[in-house]
Amino acid sequence: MKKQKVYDICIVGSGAGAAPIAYELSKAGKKVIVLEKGKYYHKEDMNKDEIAVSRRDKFIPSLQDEFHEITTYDSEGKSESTTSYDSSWNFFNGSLVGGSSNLMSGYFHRLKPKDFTLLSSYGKIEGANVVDWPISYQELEPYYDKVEKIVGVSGEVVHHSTLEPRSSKKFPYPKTWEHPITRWIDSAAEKLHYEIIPTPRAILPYDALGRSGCSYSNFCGSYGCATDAKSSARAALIDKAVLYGCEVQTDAFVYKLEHNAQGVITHADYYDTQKKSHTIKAKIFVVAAQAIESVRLLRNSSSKLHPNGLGNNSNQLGKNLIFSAGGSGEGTFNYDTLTQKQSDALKIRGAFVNRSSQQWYEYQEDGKTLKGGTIDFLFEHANPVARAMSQVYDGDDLVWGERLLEKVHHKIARSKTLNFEVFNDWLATDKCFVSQSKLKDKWGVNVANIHLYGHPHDIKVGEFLAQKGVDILKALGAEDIEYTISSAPPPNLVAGGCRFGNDKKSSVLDKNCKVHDIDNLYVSDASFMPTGGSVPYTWTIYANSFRVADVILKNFG
Amino acid sequence: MKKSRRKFIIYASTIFLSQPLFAGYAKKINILKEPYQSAFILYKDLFEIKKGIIYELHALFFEEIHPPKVVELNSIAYFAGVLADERIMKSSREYLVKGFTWLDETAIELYTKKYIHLQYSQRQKVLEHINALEWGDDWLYRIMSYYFESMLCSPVYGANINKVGWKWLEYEPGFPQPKKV
Repeated sequence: MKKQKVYDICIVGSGAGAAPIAYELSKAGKKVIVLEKGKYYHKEDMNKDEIAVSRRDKFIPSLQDEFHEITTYDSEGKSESTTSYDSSWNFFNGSLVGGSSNLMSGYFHRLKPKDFTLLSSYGKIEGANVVDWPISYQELEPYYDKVEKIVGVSGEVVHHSTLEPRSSKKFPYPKTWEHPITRWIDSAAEKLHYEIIPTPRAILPYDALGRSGCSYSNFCGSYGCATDAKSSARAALIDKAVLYGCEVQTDAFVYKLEHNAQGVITHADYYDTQKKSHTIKAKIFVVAAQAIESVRLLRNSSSKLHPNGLGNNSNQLGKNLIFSAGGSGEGTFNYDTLTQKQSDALKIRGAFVNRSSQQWYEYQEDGKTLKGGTIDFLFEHANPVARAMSQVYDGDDLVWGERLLEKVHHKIARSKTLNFEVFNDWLATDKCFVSQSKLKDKWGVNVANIHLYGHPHDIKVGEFLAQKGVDILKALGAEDIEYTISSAPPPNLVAGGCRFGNDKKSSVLDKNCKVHDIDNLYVSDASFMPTGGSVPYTWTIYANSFRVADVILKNFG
Repeated sequence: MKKSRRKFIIYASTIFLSQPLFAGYAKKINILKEPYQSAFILYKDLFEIKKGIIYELHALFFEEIHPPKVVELNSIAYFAGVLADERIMKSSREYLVKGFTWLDETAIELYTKKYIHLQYSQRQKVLEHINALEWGDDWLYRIMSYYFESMLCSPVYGANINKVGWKWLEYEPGFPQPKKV
């Protein structure tokens, strides 16, 4: 009988938390296998088909087959549950090689030093589980820098009030082509004495790193990149890891990790599309299936030795799930109120609105310093069906016929909407977590139950930041300005559930993202994050995964 | 008074779904003949584009290629495609079909005639009536979403013929566009 291959390392998932480890270890000559539930799409597969990609969710599983149980709390604190298929509330963000990084917009911000010391810097908040990280910004900085160079980040470094320390003076790639509205935003901010900065992007402006430059297709977020200019985990790292010998097993849904009598993880079990079970043996395992699914896998891998799941000896697995708090706002420019030159400028498509503000990353209120956040500016997504459907209600009433068509025509042909997005800390609480549901998916495997709760403080900070966004839209002369700040979680900005920390009793992972008490199991997606900072997470996930790759390589000796 | 039949029908339809309702495209079209006709009229009511500002602005364009017919007809074909699309939950597709039955039930209740046999003003009243109901609001929203899909999708889907919807909205798609569905 043929002896089964034993890999040096088996990685579950292929996104931003997985790919740096696959890349670095393959490059170092290790035998690496990546198990990915989705398919291996390449740039040639990435067209701009709104129906397939956005309306039918081509890159996520069918909610008939795979889903989550979702538990929320009403105003009296009573919990109620629904499912993804009943509510159309989807927490899958990208089941394909490279994961959801394929579909990101690529706003790349680093965390700032105080994000690593949230408790020490800003103090306790009632009802929230605020902590400091077990590592400092200085420890992660070299890896942020590495991401800029290896994964590819473009932009312009300007001095500003909250600029974090950098080991490289400049970004390795200059900023992408910018839309004329960036100059309008700069002027409006100047009048208000607000500080606006160029937004770094995980997008290459020209051919580099063996990838083509941006084609400015006007369809970036939610879509895969047709040139590989976007620094997805697939284009930037997995494709290259494969050249170094990394194996990628697609259509592989990992449902259990098994260990021997000594507690050493020995193999991963996965189902293929025909629900045939397969086993992969390896010396080291890394789980990076995105926060909710990683918790689910560890929970479903319970055994006599770990009756509540791997990494759950202190009952911390799944706790302190976080998202990005905040919301968004918008203002509209009507072409018939602008000069021809202005409306022609607004009609330019494809160029990026590389502008954001971090002036209020912390701010003063009633003599106290509060943690604030980031405001990013962007045009409303170009998807036409989504824009048309945004017009079907007048207040609470559906409209149809001429009235509707006039609204739709105005929305798409005769105006342009500028949005802003607010990112602030989603405070971890005891009420926001992942547990094991009794419901089972098409594989017959227990799904995750996502318990959702937003701390009121998150709303307060979000409101403060949104007002600043509104100020800028007003100064720009936009009309119909509105914004929404809520405790509804953005499913694509999820972290926590496997906190890292120095105390085994209050964390799942050690400071190197190794599961406490299991010597050969790491978790390297965003689930390690005990607090989320006030920026999108992807740059930090990439950086931490490069850091964990170094730890694992050292352990190999 | 608002009422919710959606949940009921979604649960009920799980029973129907064990039947081979969507087994074959030709068979499905036959089975759905009545809703198919209702859909034709409903689209016409919901998206009357022969009058008003839109028509005034684009009269020449519309006259040249007779877009109301083209858009409507291909919206209906697109709707049939929606009912066969496995990426849409079967229960949701069943719900779309059932909505047409309820539409007729409401028309009979108000005017003793099926929806397609009503005058334009009566049909508007029926729409207003169901719009005040929870299921009706939800169902009309879904119908509208598929209408706009048919108007604004890539022409590879068989709708938005000659890019008529894109031209009307002066919309430039992103590239590359799909070469097949």
